[in-house]
Amino acid sequence: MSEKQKRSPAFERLLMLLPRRFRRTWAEELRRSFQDRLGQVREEEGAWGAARLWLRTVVDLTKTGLVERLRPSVPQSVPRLGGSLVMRNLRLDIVCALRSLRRKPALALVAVLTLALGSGLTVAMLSLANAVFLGSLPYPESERLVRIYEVSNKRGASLAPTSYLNYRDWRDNAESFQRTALIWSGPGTTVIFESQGQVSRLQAAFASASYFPLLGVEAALGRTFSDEEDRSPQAPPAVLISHGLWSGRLGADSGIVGKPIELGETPVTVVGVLPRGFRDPTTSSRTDVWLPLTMAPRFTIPDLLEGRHKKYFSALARLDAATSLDSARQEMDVLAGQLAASYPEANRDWSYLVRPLREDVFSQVRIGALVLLAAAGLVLGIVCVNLANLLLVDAASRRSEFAMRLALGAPRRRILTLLMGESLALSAAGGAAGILVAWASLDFLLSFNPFQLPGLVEVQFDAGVVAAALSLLLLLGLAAGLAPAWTGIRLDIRQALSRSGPRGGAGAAGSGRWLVMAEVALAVVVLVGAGLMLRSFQHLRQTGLGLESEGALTLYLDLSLPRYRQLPARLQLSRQLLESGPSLPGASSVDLWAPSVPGHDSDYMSVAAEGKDTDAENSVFLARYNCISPSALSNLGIATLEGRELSPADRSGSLPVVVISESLAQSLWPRQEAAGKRLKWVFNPSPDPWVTVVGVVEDAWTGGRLGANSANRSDIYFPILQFTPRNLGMVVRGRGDGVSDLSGPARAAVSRLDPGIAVYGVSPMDQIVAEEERPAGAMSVLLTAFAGLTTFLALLGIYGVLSRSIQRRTREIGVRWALGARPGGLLTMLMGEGMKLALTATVIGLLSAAFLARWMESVLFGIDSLDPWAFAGVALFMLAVSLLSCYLPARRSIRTDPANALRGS
Amino acid sequence: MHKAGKDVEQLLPLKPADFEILLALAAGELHGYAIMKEVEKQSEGTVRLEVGSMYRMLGRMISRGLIAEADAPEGEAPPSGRRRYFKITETGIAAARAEARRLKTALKTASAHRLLEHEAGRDV
Repeated sequence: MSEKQKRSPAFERLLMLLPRRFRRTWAEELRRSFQDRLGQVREEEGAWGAARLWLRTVVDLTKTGLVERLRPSVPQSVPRLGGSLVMRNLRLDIVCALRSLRRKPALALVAVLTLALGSGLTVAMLSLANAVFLGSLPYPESERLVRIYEVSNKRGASLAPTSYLNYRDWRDNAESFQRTALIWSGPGTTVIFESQGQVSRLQAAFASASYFPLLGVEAALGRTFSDEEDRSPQAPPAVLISHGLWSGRLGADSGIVGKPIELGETPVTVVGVLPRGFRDPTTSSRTDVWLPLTMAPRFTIPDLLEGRHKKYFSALARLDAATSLDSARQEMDVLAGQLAASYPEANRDWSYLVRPLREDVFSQVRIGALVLLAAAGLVLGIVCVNLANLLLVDAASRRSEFAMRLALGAPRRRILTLLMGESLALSAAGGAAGILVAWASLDFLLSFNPFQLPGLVEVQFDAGVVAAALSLLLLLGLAAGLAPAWTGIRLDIRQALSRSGPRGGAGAAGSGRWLVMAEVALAVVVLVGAGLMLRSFQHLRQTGLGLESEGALTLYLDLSLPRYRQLPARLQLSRQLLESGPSLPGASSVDLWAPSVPGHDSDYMSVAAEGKDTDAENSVFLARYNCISPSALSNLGIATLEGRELSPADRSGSLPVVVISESLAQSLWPRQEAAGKRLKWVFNPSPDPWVTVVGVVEDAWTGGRLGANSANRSDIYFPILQFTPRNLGMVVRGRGDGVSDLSGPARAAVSRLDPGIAVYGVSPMDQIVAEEERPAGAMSVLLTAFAGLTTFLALLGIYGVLSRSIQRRTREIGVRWALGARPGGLLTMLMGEGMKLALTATVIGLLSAAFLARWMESVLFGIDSLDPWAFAGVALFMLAVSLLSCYLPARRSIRTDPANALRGS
Repeated sequence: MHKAGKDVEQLLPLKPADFEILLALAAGELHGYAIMKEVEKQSEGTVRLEVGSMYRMLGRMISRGLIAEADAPEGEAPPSGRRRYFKITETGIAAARAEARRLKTALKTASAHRLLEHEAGRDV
């Protein structure tokens, strides 16, 4: 255990450079020896020595990773080319191209290396995108699976699950679906499992019998639910268990089917074990047990299946073979209309959204994957432009060679194929190397885990992706070869053969300039992407949750046991927890916060102000629902702006009160004082649904900052002593910094009150905050790396173009020298040419970026996609570095001896 | 033994790092980090192994039968945990011996051509 704690995250990441097989054998030893070595070096040579060791280790592990990966798969033979005349000619061209490339190893090396990097990144990102956008879910014929949401037409379209009664109605009438199913799994569906004196909390799901055949899943042992279990709650309680639970806690007992186990003090019978790796597509968490839908009221909310407002269930359906998605959508629209007509109270203003299941599963990560893919594509684009530029320069210097070939009677087509062959050979070599780079770096890139990939798919390397990337690369190779080939075709033999013609030729220089401008503009786009991500990340870090999260430990209590099914028992528990709080060793405050602690998103409720027509536009608002202990807000530094805080006197029996956040107060009562006014939960059926607002507090990001509802900062806080939900969160603040010392005493305090309560989700609040920021950080790192690469290539381009132009103008420079030009003036003149180019390209890049940045809006936090700092920063940076890349060749030229310059060699 | 000797010929010349590892293990069983230190010491700092390359070499040498994994010595249990120890095999000894002979011959030739005196003179 102590060994595990010593692991350095940086070294762990480096280990990802090694192939899996090697890691399995040696990882433990590598860690240990490296730690020993690092300790020794640090002692003998200090921090500088340690830094050098890190550097050496990075190089060493990169090398080892590559060598190990290459070792088992030495290419056996080169595929044989066909024998037709065209093929033989092509082969000849390729041989010629290879031969001519061998004569200029520097060009070939630079081209292949940059191509390898560009195509490597693209292949890695394509693999990711392949999983996210195209990969199929692990269910048979998964492309016909859809998920169906209810959509509120009011206040933006927020997606909601469906209610059992609504589901039953449309299920019976819909003809587009071969099968439909309902499942509920979430924070509210946990059960306590006790075996051999050990209490644990299991994630349960309540599913209709049709759920398993709909997904095409059969039990690995036993059977799935029968229709009878689906229909009558009186059926003997059946349970299906996950493969993980079966092979773990239940000891892989092959005779488990038919045996009784106890869940939440209710005896149930195991009827089957699900296959290994089966996962519920509607949730990202793992499910341990599945119970029949009809059992849900017994374990959770007693009137769950009654009432059309009880929107808890995810609806899944399999499209009929003859039905298209569009016609299913049309049918659901019709059914929504019918439901609204039959039950206006509950269904007016609601419609249905039919979404392919695959799209649904990946809805959260699509944008992130798209941004990375786009960035990788831009890198590849720049690399190819760079290649085109290199080839163009090379072709320009070979004008006399081509002219000679033409003069000797070579058809112009041969010049074309020769040049194209070179570019293709380079792209092929670069592509092959790129695949190696991708192969070696995929694990490494994924270890940054730029977003939570749903556990349903694995990102891997597949032949399709590689083939797609290779064809893309060959296409780009052809494109890159076009510009030089064009100049080759239009070559004027006489001019080229006479020595007096201008070297390079105006045409070549012109298109070179265009290419460099394209490179700079592309680099600016990637830079803006990285800049926006960095700014967003910086903003996230600075903002925090809008509350004091440092030094606070959060944990959850599971109250799903039958004895907490009634509210008074839960209120009693809350009271006891708050009373025992002050005696908790090491704690300065103990608060309750339910159903989710700050940083975890919670349920939302529709609320309306008293005296407003709830049917009118803009009178119903979604507010995040919290139940808190009296001092919870002030202990987390959320200030009261108006009215009072909740007090211990707000308990069951006293006037129902709430505190609301500033945003909600502004929505409900614009420009008015909210304290003293009343609001209600729109669907509260009781005759007196009103609660009184006693105070308004500052906004905080209690539901996290990046979730689907992050823009909504409306919070409503109920006193926990008036209502305690079934999931109870606790926030314990320590006296010192040591958050970890608090978990033991907190667990003990809970267990003293009731040893049957499972405590889970123990984590410092800072960690919740950091976990939320991590993907943004990873995206920033990756995009910054991409941006660095593209900028470097663009600068090389500027440098190259300017050097060549200056070389062409050597004689002119000499004349100017001789006529008494001053070095300063000459420098400005020479640099001006490059800077004009860089400036134009930067402006073009910024404009394109402004256009493209809209796509990133949903992954940005707290900044606009046209953030002036990011754009200005990128512009300044680009101009500064291009100034440098113009200065270097210009300075070199004015340092040359004027006499030499005049001679013009 | 004869057979091992014949196989050994194919392994020559040994890579310097392989040879150094064999030399280090000839003195006794060692774990990875100890091999790193020993090699650095006995080569007077001219051969420095980095962790990744070393374990790659160890893996390769095991598959060629030059070295083998050994049981950890008594008393080398937790708290330091179980390290993996390595020992030299018969083939390994034969290979190291053959390499040493080869180097000795080369050395003789070098000194016959008075290549070493110059070197020694500069050292003094």
